[in-house]
Amino acid sequence: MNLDKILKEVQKPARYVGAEYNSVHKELAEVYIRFAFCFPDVYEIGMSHLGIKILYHLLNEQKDIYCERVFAPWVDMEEKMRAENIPLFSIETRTPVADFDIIGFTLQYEMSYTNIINMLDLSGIAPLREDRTEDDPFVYAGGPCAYNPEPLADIMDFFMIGESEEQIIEVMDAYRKWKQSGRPKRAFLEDIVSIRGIYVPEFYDVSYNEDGTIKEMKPNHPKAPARVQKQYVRDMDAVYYPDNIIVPNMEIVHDRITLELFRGCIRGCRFCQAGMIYRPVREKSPKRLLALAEKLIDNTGYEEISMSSLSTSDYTGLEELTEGLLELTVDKKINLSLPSLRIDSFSMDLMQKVQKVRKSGLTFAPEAGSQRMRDVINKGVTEEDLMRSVSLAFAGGYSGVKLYFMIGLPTETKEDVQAIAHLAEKVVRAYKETPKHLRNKGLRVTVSASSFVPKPFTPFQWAAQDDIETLRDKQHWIKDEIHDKAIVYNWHEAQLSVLEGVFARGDRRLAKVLLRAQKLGVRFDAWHECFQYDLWMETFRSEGIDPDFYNRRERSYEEILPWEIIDPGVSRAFLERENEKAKRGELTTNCRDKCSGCGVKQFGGGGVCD
Amino acid sequence: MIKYRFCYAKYGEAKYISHLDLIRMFSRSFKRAGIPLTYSEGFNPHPKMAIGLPLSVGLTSECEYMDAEVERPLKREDIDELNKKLPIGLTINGAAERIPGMKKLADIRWAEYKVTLDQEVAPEQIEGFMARTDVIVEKKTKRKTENTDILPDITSLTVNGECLTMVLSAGPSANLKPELVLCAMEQYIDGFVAGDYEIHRSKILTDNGKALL
Ligand code: SF4
Repeated sequence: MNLDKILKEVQKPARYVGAEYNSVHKELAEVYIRFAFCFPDVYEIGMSHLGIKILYHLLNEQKDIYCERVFAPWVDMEEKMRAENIPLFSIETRTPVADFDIIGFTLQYEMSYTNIINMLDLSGIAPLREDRTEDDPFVYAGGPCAYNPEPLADIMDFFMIGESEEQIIEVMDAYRKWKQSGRPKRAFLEDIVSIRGIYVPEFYDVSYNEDGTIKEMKPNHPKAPARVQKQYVRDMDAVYYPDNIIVPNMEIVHDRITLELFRGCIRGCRFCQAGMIYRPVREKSPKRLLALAEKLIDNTGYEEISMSSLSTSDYTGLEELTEGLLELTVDKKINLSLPSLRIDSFSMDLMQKVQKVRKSGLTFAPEAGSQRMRDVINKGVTEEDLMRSVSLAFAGGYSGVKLYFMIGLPTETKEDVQAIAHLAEKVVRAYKETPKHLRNKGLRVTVSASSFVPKPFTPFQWAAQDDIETLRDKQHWIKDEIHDKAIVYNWHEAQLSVLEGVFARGDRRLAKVLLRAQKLGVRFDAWHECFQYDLWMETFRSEGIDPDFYNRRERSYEEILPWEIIDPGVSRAFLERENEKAKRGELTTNCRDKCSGCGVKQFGGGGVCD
Repeated sequence: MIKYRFCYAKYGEAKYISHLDLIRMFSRSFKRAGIPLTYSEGFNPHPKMAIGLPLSVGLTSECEYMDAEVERPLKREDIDELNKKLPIGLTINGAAERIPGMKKLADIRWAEYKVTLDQEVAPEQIEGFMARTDVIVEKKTKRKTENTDILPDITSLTVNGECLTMVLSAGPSANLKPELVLCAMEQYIDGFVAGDYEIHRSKILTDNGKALL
């Protein structure tokens, strides 16, 4: 294929050619399994994602497996590829995706689903499983959105549920044996269905009630488990983590070393899916992290390290780790960044240490404006906490503060929404009250309000989502209450959140909507310039599917939810209990103070549960 | 702190690395090779590095120049190590300490390009083109399009079968891109279509007609 010719005509051709430092190149004759890791978005988004870095190097450590990367071509590239009949290809060897043995997609956000369909279509692979043949590769998906696999159940051959570092090697071992055996494809699915975390949708039948809700989901194959238990890593120090990550040749979104301090979250915010599905909290030791950091610094040359976890300041070894990291980085002009700090455990000390290297803006996520609302979502943070933190920050020389909020939360009132603006105004006041000789000039308070999307396996999984008009009204309520010029207010497109809500809690019947949407040209929904709400609505109408059924309806506890075919460890009883407590505005303690019996301990425990 | 000049080649997949990304890529490669660069002062320190003449994305070159300030004297082994730590398609093929009197990157005046076409061009056609009194093309700048005569900036243009050799004005005062010359040839040479081509930069010359290193 004459790729060079079209690469001259597209934006950012570096997206498609690879050859970055630390990318893996193998002799194809020595490879037995060819694995295409597909990220359903552009290169600079995909390469920023931690999971791809881990699995790429993990798989490539196996001598006879060659894992290559595939990203969604941007619209200009897709147009050229279609015009020149160039099928979707891997960036390492430019091999057509259809020639691989296994194609794995990672599901990071629902609004990438049409890109998956489109990537399969560009590969010449039928998106619907039933249309594929014995000659086609296996197509599977994993990642956080796979906790509700159902919207893609008719697309994927199988799903990997949970953390796949260990599971993926088991699946590869099974694949190796299966490939040698020459048996039909179904035999491979039968081999792997007993591996923990593997969900094979064709081994389950779903029947529906007259009102459209699910009547029953049950296995039609003797080997398929009644519920698929997620897989997770027990020993975070022993689990594989790459020390030689790829350094892209073009700028990507998160262009730095990422240290994963721990998985899970002790907090239990009721809107947060990650906080539920990644339980229990399991930490890496500072020793292990420092050893990794040192190698990663040497092997990448990156100028920034970020500590990444759901709630970084809850890491028990934070002090030891930051001390150690500062030692490793200061002389080498490497920045440390500390995202997602919790304001109640914010430490002035830590802030000043990091500041020695670079002073950047600070981010806080109170999530809701009023105390009542924060209690409903179990965000155990008070206004005093926030004020104390921002005052410290201002006195420490920071003048930029970002505040993240959500609107559309269950039980929310107009007062709750307006309280977001009022809180921002109070932050401005805290700045003005900071002695002039301590604070820096140029105050900027950025308020971001995203729209709440109820997610599976959270206490709010039964809730109705606000409609577009309501969300827009709420956005304006905030705007109208903001008076200070130092406050910059951003909000998110409500239409996108509403659509995300449909697929987040969708079922198998949505596959046909995805297929038609792709045919109509829907893709890159997460990109503002590509999002076509009207086309989506047209698609729902012509497929006879009512999106309101999925997002506008408050579900009863009696209803069987599509994603309950998966068992994330957190029990339904706990989620119901939490939902009831939310309605009463009662708080639940964090895992470290007191176990609240979420069910994960019985499921297998580990980490903070022990 | 010691000032060095490096000469490097850019080829293969690396031809798609943009000028802006190149500085970042080099600074990371130096770090990987354990060569301490000198950084600017301030809250956002950046390495003191400059690239001679930007190379358009998609072009290869055997003679790019970069100046950088390094904290310690470099040995041959440092360059070998650096070459191991560069991404595929980039190779340092020369380095020297910058001494007073040496030409500066700002002294660049010309660049030579080798263009491989998918067809042969007759030398007479090229001669005819060069014998014109002017070569007016539409030049697009950020704000406007204007007609300019590019002939004064074409120092020489010769052909050998499918391979064109162009010496064009380059550097801070006048800079003519080889793609624009191909456009002009399409406009003024009967029957010439640029088609599929590869452009390779083979020389960068300063005002004394010599290379930078
Ligand atoms: S079992 Fe208890 S300690 Fe373990 S994750 Fe659940 S609530 Fe936290």
